[in-house]
Amino acid sequence: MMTRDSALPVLLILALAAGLGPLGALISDDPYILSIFERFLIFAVAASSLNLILGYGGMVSFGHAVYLGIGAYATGLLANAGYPSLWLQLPVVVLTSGFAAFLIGMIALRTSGVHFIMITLALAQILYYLAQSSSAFGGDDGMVIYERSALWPGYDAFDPWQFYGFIAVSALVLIWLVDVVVRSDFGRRLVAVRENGQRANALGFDVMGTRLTAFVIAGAVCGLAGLLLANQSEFATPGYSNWQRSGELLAVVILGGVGTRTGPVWGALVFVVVEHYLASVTSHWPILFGPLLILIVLFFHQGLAGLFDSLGRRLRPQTGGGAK
Amino acid sequence: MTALILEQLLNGLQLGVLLFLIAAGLTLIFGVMDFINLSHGSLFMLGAYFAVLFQGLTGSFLFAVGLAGLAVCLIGLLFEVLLVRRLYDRSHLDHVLVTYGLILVANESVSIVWGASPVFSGLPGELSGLVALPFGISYPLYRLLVIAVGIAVAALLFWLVKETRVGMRVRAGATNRTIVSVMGVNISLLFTMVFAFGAFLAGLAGALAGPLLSVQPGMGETVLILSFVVVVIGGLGSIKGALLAAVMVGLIDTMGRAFLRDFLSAFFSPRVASEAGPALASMLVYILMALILFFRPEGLLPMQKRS
Amino acid sequence: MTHPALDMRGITVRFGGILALNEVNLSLAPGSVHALIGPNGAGKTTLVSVLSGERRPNQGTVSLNGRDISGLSALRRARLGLTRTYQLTALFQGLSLRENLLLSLVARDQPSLSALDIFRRRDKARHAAEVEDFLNRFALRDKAGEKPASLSHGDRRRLEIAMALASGPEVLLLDEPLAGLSTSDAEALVRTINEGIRGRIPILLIEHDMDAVFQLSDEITVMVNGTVLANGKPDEIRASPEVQAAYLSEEDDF
Repeated sequence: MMTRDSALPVLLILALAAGLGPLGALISDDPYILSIFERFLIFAVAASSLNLILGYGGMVSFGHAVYLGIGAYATGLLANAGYPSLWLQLPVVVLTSGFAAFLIGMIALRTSGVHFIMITLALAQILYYLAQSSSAFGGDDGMVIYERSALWPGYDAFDPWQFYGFIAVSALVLIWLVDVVVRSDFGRRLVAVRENGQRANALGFDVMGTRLTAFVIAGAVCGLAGLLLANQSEFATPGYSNWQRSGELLAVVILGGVGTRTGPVWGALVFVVVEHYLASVTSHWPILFGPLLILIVLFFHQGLAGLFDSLGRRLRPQTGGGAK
Repeated sequence: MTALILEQLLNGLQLGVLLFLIAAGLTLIFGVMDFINLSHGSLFMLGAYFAVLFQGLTGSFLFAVGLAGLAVCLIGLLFEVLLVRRLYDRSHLDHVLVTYGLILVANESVSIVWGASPVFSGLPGELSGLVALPFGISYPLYRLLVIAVGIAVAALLFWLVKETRVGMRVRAGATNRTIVSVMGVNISLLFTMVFAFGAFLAGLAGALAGPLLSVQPGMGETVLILSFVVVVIGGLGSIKGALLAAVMVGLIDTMGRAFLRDFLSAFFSPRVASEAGPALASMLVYILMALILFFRPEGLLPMQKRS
Repeated sequence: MTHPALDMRGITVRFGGILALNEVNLSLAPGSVHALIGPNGAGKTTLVSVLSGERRPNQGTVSLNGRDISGLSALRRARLGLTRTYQLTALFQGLSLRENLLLSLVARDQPSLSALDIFRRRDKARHAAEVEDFLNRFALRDKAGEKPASLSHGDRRRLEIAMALASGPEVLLLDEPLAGLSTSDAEALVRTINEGIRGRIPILLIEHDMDAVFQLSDEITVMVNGTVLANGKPDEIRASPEVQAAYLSEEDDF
């Protein structure tokens, strides 16, 4: 974690993965491929934010998708109320999802272990039920979003290529941002707190403050993933923040490799592609994904990033041991 | 009005009793094995489906309920022996992921076999009537039966845990794992038994709840999350805490859904009340949980020291 | 006048009806090594936890370099430079030695974070150089990339003390640093303390190894049953009949 400082690995992988989509779309002349890759990029952002608290902070949040929902609804409500400007939506999404993370963190971080898992899950359900039972949010049916975020005059949000550019650049920036946080002084403390809270406290590190700060950053970044998701699907539904989605995010991080800098990107890529492929085989695709997930947890604990790293015979930056 | 309130109180108690049956298994499995079982809700769902299936085969509802409980118990036993056992010394995160995978499998299997739409679970005529109770209440016989069965099972559970040798080991295991292994107990058998028993309780609850809820894929998750709330409020590993919390959650949830809207309309405009009432009602138990945890992070009746 | 590095006045702790510490006074002179000895159950560990702020005394005050810190939390005391080591070594198990040491330096130089530190890494080069220096001084250079779990007991103790030192303490509380060490490891550690720390940083030493205590200390306080039995220079303590009766004779057994 502290030895390799360059942001290159993350950017390289992302550039590759983000470049692959346009290439595929050009060759096959099928813009639909772009939308699969948009989903991948959005998932990668959400998973990176979860990896910050799960992998580096050791906090097993089972309610991380709640910020996806908050980001998506905030974006949708603003857009439908006639405020499609990204420059307004961006701060609003960061503030609302960050504030929600602050509140959830204040309660959940007083506990640890299983309590923490269950409480993040239950608190996330609050928003799910709120969205589901509120007519302003479109209730169970969700909310159609009529306007994609507007960047500047001349930008056409409904042009597949321009829109893909917006998603790709946003994802790059956000994932890079999370990576910067991981490598910062703050990131060091976060790992110290994960490894031994009592010891970190004895060194003068504020354990609760460190955890809460990471929790809020992760929430805000995931909220922005929600903004992207709302744009991409032109829709916001309670389902974005339900617990299955939180479980998927955990699965993506595990698949990629917990606490590795490139893991969430690999995990998201494989998840979206496998989901797409399985879904084309059978509508009951979770019946294949479930056992796959179990096998991965049982036998493939290092994740993809770990696998690639050992293939490249490089030192792993961080083993996935911070989960308990 | 009194009759209405009393009737809702009974409904709340009935929900509480069902929640206790599920939460008791969850909290036992956590207390003894330190294992988080997300798929506990799926066992509940299977109980409901099996009851429908067996009722069709045998024609007797009560027999089908018992049989469904046993069938789920058997499935739980297989789960434990084949899969869960390998995970006890893994992290909680691994527990969560594997049992999450199991939920996906369970839900999809059920929707492949029975379809995605709700399955009708018919009550036999002799159970579907109303009973006249004091204060002029006429209350569904079946709901009373559920309350009675629930209380009986709860009593049986307390007796098992308090008075029997196996129960003593379970309690010892929940408080201090090293002591149990020192006592020379066959840990692995004890674990299997506890898991299978928890599964039985969940299956029984599902079979009983079938006629009250809609039997459909995913029905286990709503119940699971409520049971988590119960377990967390009660204090992880504590059966007494689970009972207390289950009744609290059952009552508050039911009363909230029944009366919050009318209550709010006394203070706000009808439009606000009818909008906020149901939303607030469905969040009430979570707000309760958040409040309780803020002041008592370990829950109401936490387990004594564990090591 | 200069203040004592650490000054405890009238520390009293009750556990239920039992008096664990009774009006304990102890004063640590700047730059000195002050040993706290006594049989098991004398209240030494309780006193350390009162000092570090992990336990609130029923009565009494603690001051650090003349500043009253009685009301401060363990975290605030740690930030003021009151640094302790633990009997059971508590290291960052998942991190390498180098990273363990680095965290101590971060703690020293950036006790509290500014918002910008979420995005940057300050003092990178300086910290790296200082870590190498500590690794050399404490003979841990060869194992810098390993994790604490793979170290020998002696190595781990040295790392523990190196980390405490790296965090820039005003006062060091060493809680049985020699416990469980082999004779040669213990001797090496005594040498390290004598040559590397003594005189620069005041040390409160809790230790059972009497040879080490007499070798290291400028002053010794003897506690029995929660009260101070005697206080003085090593020679005075050695000569005190009271101390011999209550304590030293018992220690002769091993």
